[in-house]
Amino acid sequence: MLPPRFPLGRELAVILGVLLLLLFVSPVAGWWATPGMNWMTPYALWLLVILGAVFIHRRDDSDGS
Amino acid sequence: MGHELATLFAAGFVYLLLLFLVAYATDRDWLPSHWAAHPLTYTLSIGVYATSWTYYGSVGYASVNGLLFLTIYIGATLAFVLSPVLLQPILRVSRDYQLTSLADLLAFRYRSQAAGVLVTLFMLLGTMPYIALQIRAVTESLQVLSNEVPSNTIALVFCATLILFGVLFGTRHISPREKHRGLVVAIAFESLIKLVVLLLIGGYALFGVFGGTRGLEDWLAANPQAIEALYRPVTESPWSALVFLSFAAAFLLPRQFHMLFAENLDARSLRTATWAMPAFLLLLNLSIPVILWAGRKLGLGINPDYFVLGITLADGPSWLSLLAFIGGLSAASAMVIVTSIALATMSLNHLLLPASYPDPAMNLYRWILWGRRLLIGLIIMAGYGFYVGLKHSQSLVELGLISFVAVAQFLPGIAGMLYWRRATRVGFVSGLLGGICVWSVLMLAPLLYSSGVLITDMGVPHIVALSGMHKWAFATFATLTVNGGLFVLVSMLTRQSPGELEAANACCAESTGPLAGVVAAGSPDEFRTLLAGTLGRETADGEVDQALADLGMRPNERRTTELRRLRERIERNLSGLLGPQLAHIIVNRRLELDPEAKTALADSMRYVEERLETSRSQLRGLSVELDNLRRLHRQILQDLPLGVCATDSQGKIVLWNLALEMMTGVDAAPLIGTRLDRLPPPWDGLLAGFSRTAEDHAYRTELAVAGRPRWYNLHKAAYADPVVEGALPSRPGMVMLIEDLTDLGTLEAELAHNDRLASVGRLAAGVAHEIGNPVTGIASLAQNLRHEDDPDVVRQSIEEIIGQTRRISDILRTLKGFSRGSRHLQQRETFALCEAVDDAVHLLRLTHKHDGIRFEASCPGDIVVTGNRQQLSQVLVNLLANAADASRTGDRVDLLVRAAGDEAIIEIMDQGQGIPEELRETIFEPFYTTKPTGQGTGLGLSLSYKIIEDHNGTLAIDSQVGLGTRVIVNLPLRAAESANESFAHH
Repeated sequence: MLPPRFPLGRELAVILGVLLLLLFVSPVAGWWATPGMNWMTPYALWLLVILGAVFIHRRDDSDGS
Repeated sequence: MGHELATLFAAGFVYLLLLFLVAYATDRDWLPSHWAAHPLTYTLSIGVYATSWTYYGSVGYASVNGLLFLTIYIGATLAFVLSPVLLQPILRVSRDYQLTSLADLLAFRYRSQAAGVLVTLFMLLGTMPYIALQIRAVTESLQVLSNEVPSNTIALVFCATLILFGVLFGTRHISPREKHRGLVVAIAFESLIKLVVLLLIGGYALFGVFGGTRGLEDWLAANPQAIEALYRPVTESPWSALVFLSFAAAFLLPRQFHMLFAENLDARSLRTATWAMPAFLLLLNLSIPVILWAGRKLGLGINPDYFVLGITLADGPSWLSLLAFIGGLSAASAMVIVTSIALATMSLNHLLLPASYPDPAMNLYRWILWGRRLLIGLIIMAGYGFYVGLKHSQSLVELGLISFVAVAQFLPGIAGMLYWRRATRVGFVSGLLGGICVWSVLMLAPLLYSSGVLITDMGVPHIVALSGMHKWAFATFATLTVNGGLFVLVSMLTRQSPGELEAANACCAESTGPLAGVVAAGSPDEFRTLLAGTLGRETADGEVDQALADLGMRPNERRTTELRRLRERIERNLSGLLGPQLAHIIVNRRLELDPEAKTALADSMRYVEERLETSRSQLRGLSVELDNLRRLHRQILQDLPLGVCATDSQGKIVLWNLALEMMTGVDAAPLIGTRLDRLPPPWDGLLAGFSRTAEDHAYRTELAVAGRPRWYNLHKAAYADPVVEGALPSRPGMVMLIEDLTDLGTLEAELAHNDRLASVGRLAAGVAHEIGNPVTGIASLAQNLRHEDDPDVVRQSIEEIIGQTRRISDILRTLKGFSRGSRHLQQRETFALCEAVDDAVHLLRLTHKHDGIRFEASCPGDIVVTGNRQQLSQVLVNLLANAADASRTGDRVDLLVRAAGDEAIIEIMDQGQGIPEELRETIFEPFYTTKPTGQGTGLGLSLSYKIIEDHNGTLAIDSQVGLGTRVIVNLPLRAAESANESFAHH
């Protein structure tokens, strides 16, 4: 009998969503949204979240789920 | 530098023609079919999210509100990142129940036509400004590029072209199971065009206007206020509100829902879109600040909404400005096409069909097709009406955000659908009505006031100012507070109908509820006849045939559980055609459930198991453990080496395991749900007959299978259905075990046959030896007689020859008697026991197998018994042979016979190794042997035991390990007449 599949992909997705909110819709946004920062900083943070989504997708694929 | 209006018109026309070609080539399979199914094509088709608002409006919005334009895409990114808990469950429900729009989904979940009507009307109202925005973007871009005010005719031609496209490629199929691949590829193509063009313009801004990254950095260093203006709004109030609004819009807008769920070809593509769609949005927005700053640097005097065009016009190549116009055209046309198709389906299912259902005599399929086409035209023209009627005082983004706030009103209903089973229809409708009212006051009224339609703004700007919040944040907060509050409060105060509860369970990922009820109609043909009353004969036939094909069901299916599944499938298929609520009403009215018939849990077992198999990946926590347990139990039953058949309280088969499939050659799948007496012969008689008997066990039941006899042991027991929630325990079902004994019997017979052959072989060798000696003697004597003349010697030789022939006769008589016994086993006689003893010892000696063993027999001649002499001889042979086998060369085996009371006691003693205590019980079992393989069958002692028992005697073992074994046989002495009769009848 196969062991029960732990739905980690769903949980990682929620964690990534929380990370996105933390970066963009929390006081953390006040840290990067200062004139001293490069104008591409929000894009870089956005890319970070996308890479997280790629990681979850690849992990799900390797699980065959 | 500008372009002629005619040139622009021609360029736009050629582009739209190309779009037609792409869609047509896909539908005609001129393009490779895997292109349409590719996850990236799907992702680009979802890119319809980015409209002319993104293409033109983002720069304008950034010029006033800095990075606030990014919120529209960060919110969408959040929705895609949360796809496993948000989009994938919606896709599952949409595909399972063939729901093609948000109105379908909510009407299905809340089992309410009113919900469907309300959602559709509100969606129409909320989307019209958005369609108007696209038309305006196209006409204004023409104005920017040509410096001429385009007439409304151009807008009208644009709309007519889009109507033609929508009619040709968006209504090719009426069933949601068939996807519009041409439309999907064309929309993906449009997304690719706007992305590439925007990147090209961004590249031009960076390298053409600023001269590279260093130039941009220098300009930013010289203009620090540009970066400051970009970042300032991030911490202000509308930031989080806009993220929230775009999160909702990313999957609730009609065009998004349509491309995400209704046109999804493969569920796996959505998983790719979780990262690919945010990546697309990021690339699309990368150029926006650069284009804005380029416009500032060039000092463009136009509305920043059109900087995308302006910077190419100012100093760029003319082809780039033409391309920029095409990019904007593609963004606008894609939105209008998909939105109109989505709204047309929604309006048909929830407004037109319920209001004026066509006569059954009409072809329903054709009616639906033309209805959708007509509605596509009407919706685009209504958008055009909005465009003409509204004054163009709002920015593009403002018009879009009004729609965003509108669609956000469906979020509470979606949350209830996915995660709150307790949510009720009344709660949802109340909340939505509340939200619509507040939205109308806060959003629609100011828009209409600014366009001169209303004469008052109803004091909204004053109220917003009093709140201290930004107007978008205030509108979002106010509408959703009223909406969500009413939704929760009213849901808590009202009760769900059974239909709502069923739909709520169906939407919940963990739900695998069985189908309740029995359909009154008894066959698919009756389904056709009943449905024809509403759908018309042609449509009814088409739907029943489709559902039968979907389920792989026979047209003459009569099993109630299967017909229940057929009914559900027809409802799902009709849901794709007519909307869930109308389909539900038609099926409920035409294919009624029998109110008298009861459904046991076992009836729905197959359905529940299918649901568990398909939704296993969605099970969580304890459900996974329970499902594992269920699988284990089921596997045990399936792999049991005995046939298992279970029936429910109505005698219908619910379980038919693998062993029984192999035993009977009858597959389980078509049997489930049928009665035992419907089994193919001869199993119907065996199992149905056994199920009716009072006995719980039947041993060695003979059955002719394919003309050959087979034997079975049957066992049965009653079981009770687990108590279904809220229901009384039903009558018990029955489980039967079927054991095939035929192979075992055959094996027994083969082993006995082998044993007999081995015995015959040994006997033949002994006989040859015994007869060989006297024959040699006779031959020698006969040779000598040729030359012998002395009469005395001749007479002596003749006497010796006669003696030798007598010896041969004795041997042959013994053999004859033994063989006769095998043919006349049931014959009885009265005889002296010593005769049987002599026969046995003689036979044993004939085999020469135990020549090293001394057999000492002591048997008084007056002990007489009644029975089968040959059988008793065989017993003694077996016992003596066993004793000899256990002895070493030179040992002695004694056979003592004596009389005690009315019994004869035979004792056979050896000096062998004895029998261990633990083996004394088992040595009488058939086929048990301690001898090496091939030297004993294990049948001798058990047969002997049986023969002695048949003679009313006993056979006991007395053994001491290391000292030897004594076998004691008690037999009744010559019996009275009555005892003889008893034996004779045995």
